[in-house]
Amino acid sequence: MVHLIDEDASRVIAEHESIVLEDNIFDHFISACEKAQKPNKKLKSALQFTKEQGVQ
Amino acid sequence: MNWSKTFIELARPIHDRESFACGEPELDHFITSQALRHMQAGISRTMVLPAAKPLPNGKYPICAFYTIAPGSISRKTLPDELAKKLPGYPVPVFLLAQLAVHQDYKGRGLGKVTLIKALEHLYDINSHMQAYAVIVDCLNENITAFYEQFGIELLSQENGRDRLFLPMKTVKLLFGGK
Repeated sequence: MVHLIDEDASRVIAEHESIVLEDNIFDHFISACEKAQKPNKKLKSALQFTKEQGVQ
Repeated sequence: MNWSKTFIELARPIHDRESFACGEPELDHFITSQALRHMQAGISRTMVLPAAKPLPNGKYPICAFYTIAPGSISRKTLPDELAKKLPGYPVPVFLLAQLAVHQDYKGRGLGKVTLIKALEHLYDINSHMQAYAVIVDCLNENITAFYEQFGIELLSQENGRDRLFLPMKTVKLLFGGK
């Protein structure tokens, strides 16, 4: 059982830790993160809705 | 049936994992069989929104949940010049690894509430350990469409699934007024 858990855990770590992107996609990603769009209307209204629901 | 007012960490004695059903077998399997083990192994953290009232077995049904984890992104090839410009490499990111709403609670806006609470959680973590973006892997087109309406954009495709991202700077602007 312990062995199974460990195997599963390392598989997930391997999947998650190393996202490798093609050079052009990586460059687009970095550039988009640095520019950072403002949150769109739907995201802002989702925040407002969440506040109205009173969920902590 | 109403949900409670607070997302809390998934706990075996308190939450009824077996009754969770969102219509996606992969997500149902995750919350039933994997979420706790992954938390114990330190891989990810799962937060649940329990129902307001318990089941006859004394446990609370799970109305919605999200799972977050750390991750990183690297470039297939990295010229020295570019490497110098990056503050950290590989680039740290947050993974919104799972997000699901119980089918009995769908159509009441709980999906967007869960997304907002997950982003808020990551915003709080970001004040201690910074990341560039939130990454979401989508199981199917409907899930992609759900996230894209909130401005979460396509990054790439992985094994036929869309991988989306939202810059942490955008998340900071969203919660910046707190």
